[in-house]
Amino acid sequence: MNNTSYKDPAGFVFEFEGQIYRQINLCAAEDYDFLTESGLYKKLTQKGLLVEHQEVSLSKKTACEFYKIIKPAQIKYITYPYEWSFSALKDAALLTLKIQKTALKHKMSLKDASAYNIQFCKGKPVFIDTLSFEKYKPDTPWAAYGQFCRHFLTPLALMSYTDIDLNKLLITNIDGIALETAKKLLPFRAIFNFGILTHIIIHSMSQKAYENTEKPAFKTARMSLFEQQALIDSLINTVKSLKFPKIYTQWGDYYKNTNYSEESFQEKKDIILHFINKVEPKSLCDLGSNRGDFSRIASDRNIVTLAFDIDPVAVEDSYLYMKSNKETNILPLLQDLTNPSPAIGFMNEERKNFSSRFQCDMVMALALIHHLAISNNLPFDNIAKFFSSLGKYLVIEFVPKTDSKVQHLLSSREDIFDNYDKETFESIFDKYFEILETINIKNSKRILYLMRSR
Amino acid sequence: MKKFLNFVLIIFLLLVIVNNQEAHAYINPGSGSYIFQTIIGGLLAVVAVFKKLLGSITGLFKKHKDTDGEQDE
Repeated sequence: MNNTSYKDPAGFVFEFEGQIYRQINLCAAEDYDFLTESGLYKKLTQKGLLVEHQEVSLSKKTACEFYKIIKPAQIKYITYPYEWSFSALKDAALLTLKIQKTALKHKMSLKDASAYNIQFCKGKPVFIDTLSFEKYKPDTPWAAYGQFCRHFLTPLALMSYTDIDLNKLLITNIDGIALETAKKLLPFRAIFNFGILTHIIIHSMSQKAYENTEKPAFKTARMSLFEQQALIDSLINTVKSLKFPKIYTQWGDYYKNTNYSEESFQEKKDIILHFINKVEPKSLCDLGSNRGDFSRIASDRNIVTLAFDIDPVAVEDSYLYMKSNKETNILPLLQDLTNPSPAIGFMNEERKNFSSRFQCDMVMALALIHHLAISNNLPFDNIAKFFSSLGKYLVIEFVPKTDSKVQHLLSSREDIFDNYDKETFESIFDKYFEILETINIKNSKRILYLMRSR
Repeated sequence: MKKFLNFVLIIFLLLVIVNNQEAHAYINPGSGSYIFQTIIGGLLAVVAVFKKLLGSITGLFKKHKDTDGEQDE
């Protein structure tokens, strides 16, 4: 059983022989059937907004509430909202609202608006929770309004108005950032955004005002369909009004300040292509990808590529590039490799950690080793162990101490890294990897390695 | 003018919410979301109707202008 499925009595997700399935329980049979009968399933799947599924029969039947089992289109890599760039989270929010708007037209409604119901597949967000749809009960409010605001609106508003890194609050708040928290963190100028003022600030005051009420508002509150549509339109306008903040980050101009001439930059690309052609991986994780220039060597060759970086500007740029070029094999993601996404939720089992989700054929770590070893004091041994846990092959660039970038890192601290040299690097990595090929980059002090996990 | 109207709506909204406080034992933030939604939904629906009317009126003029444009070509 999937680790969060137990929360929904309508059914659950489970893995069987390496494939993901979803059981539909009898209590959800009517809603599930109506999804197809109403034409909503066809409409949403034709537009690529909802994950497609097939009804299947498995020899492995479970529980007496059993109604049907469906097999959804399989998604290789599951990612979480705190790993998405600003525009990715925005697109996920707009998809949720678009689906709710379409569902209302088919007399259905989303019973939840969790950001975890969205995954990115082939360069686009897609809704994955087939059991989130229920029959619309006339004149009732949208049950998922509060959750939508917590999962999408508050993180987007905080990223836009307060600090772009505040999406990380989603790691510690699994059910979204509370409106009250956002209200305290948003600057005064945010009140001039009508949507923020209403859907976050006054909404939060309303929650406070009614928090002690014993009246079950979800049973008594009334709202016409037209009013709900106006509410959804207002949320769409609010999400669209939020912009990526104008900020400068360390890596934003990285490629303008590299240690590579145009010629050696191209040579580095050629070497990486040579390594990729040699291994022919089906999947690749580029760690410290920046804007994804090197990741795209793989993704342009139909290799499923995840491009991780710590910098929100670089990841945002890469995501927008992916979108505008309609790329389908790459997904830029935010990740601090010195503190990767943890396992979170009840019993730490609801959302999986970084290492268990991102297993791939080839790991790429270009111009990264000095940041891990020198800026973060991580021993070569631990770094090698981490890389070997992610994939079979490794393409790694060694940046020697004499390199100006390393000198820059050392300029602000005491040099306690006597063992940071090529020989030690090779001997320690040799414990975990077999070095298949070593190439010196011309006009540069840097070295590229192709290694295979032992 | 439109912004001013928005703010009048907001002051009204605040008064409605704050004057409806009750004191009971268990914390229930969900109720506030439902109640607020019905109030803001109602107000937004009024704005939507108003916009639609305004749109259809200006639409008449726009159509007229477009036809003029076509005639010019």
